[in-house]
Amino acid sequence: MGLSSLLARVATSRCHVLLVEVPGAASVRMEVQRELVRLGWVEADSPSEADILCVCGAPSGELLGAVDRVWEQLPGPRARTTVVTAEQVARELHGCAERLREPAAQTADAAGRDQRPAEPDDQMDDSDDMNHGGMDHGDMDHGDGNHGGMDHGDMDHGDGDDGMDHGGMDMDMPMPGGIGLAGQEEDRDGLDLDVLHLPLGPVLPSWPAGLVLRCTIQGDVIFSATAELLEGTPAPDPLAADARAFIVHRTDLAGRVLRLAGSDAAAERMYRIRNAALAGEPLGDCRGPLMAELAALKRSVLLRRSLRGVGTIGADSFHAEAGTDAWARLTGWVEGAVRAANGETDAAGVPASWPVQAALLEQLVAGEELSRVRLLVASLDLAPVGTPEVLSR
Amino acid sequence: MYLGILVLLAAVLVSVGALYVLSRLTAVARNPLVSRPFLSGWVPEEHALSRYHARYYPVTLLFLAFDVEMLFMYPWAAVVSRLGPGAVIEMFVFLGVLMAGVFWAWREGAFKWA
Amino acid sequence: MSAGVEQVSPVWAVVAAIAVLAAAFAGAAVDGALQARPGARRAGMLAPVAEGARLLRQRRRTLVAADTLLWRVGVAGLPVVAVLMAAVLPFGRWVISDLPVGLVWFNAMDVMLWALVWMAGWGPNAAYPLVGGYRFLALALAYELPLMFALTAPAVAAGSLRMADIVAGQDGLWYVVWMPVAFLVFCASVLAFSLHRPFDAPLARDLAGGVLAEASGVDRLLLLAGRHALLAVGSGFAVALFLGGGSGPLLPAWVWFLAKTLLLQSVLLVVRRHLPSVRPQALMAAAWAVALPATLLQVAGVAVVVVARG
Repeated sequence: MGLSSLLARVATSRCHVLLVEVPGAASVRMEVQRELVRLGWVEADSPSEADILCVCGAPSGELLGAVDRVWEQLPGPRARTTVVTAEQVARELHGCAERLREPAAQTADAAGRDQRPAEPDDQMDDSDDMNHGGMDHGDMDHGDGNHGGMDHGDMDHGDGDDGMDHGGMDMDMPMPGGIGLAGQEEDRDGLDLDVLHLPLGPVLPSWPAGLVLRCTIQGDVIFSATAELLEGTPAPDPLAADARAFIVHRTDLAGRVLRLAGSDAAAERMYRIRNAALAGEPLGDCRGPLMAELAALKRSVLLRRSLRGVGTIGADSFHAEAGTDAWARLTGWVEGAVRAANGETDAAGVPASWPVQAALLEQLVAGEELSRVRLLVASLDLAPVGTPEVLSR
Repeated sequence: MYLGILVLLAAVLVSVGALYVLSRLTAVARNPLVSRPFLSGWVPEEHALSRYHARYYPVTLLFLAFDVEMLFMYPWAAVVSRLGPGAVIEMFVFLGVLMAGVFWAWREGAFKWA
Repeated sequence: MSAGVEQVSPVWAVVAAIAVLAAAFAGAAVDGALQARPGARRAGMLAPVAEGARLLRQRRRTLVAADTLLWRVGVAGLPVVAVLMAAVLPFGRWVISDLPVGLVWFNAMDVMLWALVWMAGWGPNAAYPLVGGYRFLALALAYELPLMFALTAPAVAAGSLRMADIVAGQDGLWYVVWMPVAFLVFCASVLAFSLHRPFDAPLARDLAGGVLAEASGVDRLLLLAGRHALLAVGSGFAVALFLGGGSGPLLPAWVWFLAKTLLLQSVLLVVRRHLPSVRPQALMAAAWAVALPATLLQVAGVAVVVVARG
């Protein structure tokens, strides 16, 4: 078994970690990201890529359900941890790597997951209803929808492929996996096209904590969306924010946009500044790097082209950032951080309430393609500045 | 001449196959995990495979025109030095006509969608 | 200093396949070093080892009602196409298959990627890979024509579609010197067909990995390895078509060829880290209205020179 343990050791020298942020746990998430860089590990884009599911903060309710379902999608070897305070981070990640290396436990875990994907009961009722909803759009009658629902039930008892095939034969229309087929709807240009439901969030890389955007899409265009915040709204407390919290928050936001835009090198440098501020280094030291980043940003023609005109908020909107697009907001964040590092304080704008934000999001997102939606959501500051715990290490 | 390519194909197919066999031995489980698609933690309401709205379809037509043109371009490239100036003029008048079409399509907004 | 290229025995094809794999590995190592934080660059070079071990140990995944056949063909197809491309690539003085239409063979293999990447995206029956697959088609519509015309420039200059003739035609003067536009367009296309930034929208983070979003274990390993192999082979073709192949003083041809290829591959990897991802739509007008006419003018210029020389 020497070979397989060697393989395990090599494999866990570079773990891929899927991060889930619970609203209010931004500082824990940042500390995890800092630790990942230190270890040379990688932040995963999807559960299929991940070895470790790292939940930052304690989720409950619907968010917990979503995390559990994502956990079922990790291929394994897999390890899961919930980190509530920044001090736990290094130890927890280390523990996860240890668990990934245990061959017996991982094999047993894998063997226990040989059935079809099971579904928590609460979700089952939900998706049954949704099936009906989907059918209304399509040409199929309700009878089919009911069959779909029954097939669904079958599957929960762990029937294999055979069970599914029987289900298919009973019906006029086979619905493999108990999932319905796409319904149709007219698109913007009046074409009859298939509509899919694509929920964005809460478990999604570089996505605001707790945000769920339930989208209907045609191709890669969002047709309509409804926004929701899981775990309630974070308490806005802009007055508690000091200059350090301000810089950490702004650089974090800027790093997220850069990351999504694909500017890896720039995003890493931005996160490095954030981590330095988070670790308690003198704010004056952040000034130089921030200025350099701002200059580099303004030189980047491709980046400007990719962000200009994305998520433009109408100038007549009473939103604090009226008249800006993603590019203006990104550069504005970095400029604000530079000012804060200089010791100047911005007049703290009163953050918009959640219903206002949600309405704005829904309006901005409609009719946009997926890549632009991801950028525009990242370019909005949905969680107001709290005071992040400054780490004394 | 083609034997080399066949051996190469065999070599790479064997390698890919060997990798699959190796992974069966080294992976934590031999059979693949049956999972639901990743949808941020939600259950899919319908199958993703559907009629996709490829909004760039006007470009595909334009592409087709040029792609067929490549059929002439390759043989032309091999013989142009022998045929002399006439061949160059003929080819680039032809390409010029196609490019006029491209600029027209550009003006009509074929390269933009959203 | 004549760069006479000869066809070697088919047995060497096995060595060629291994060489492609090794070059892909080298590219992944360079990439790992670039990604690592400053101070851990050397450890970063071991990233492909760790990644390989990780993915070999990881369980494969399949999805409910996936189109498994198409998915697996798409996944395994990437490295296969990369290796088949290399069949006509002169490695210094040796080539596996000296096809008289070697350039067209390269083109044919590269067009196979349209189908393969799309199949890898369609197969899993999931929204993100599906969007990723279609994004690749949009990208391909933008980069393919400039690529094809960039390919014809060396062919016109050499008066042949045979790779050996094209390399021989650069005796004394590399094509990059008088075909800079074609060279740049070709390098950009190499990044595009090997799914690297700035043309990585089909695998982007905003789609949770896009085409990669549902692949795990050895499937993911093949996709990633195929991607690096394509970059390596693409760099090799750039060297053979524009940078004089194996020509150079003192050292044997294969050393020169290898050195140039690895250098170009590393340069492309550095470049890609400093560019943001480009949305297919933003690329479309630039490719058709700027890159395509520019490449055509390049080919016209080359044709005029060739005809004038007689």
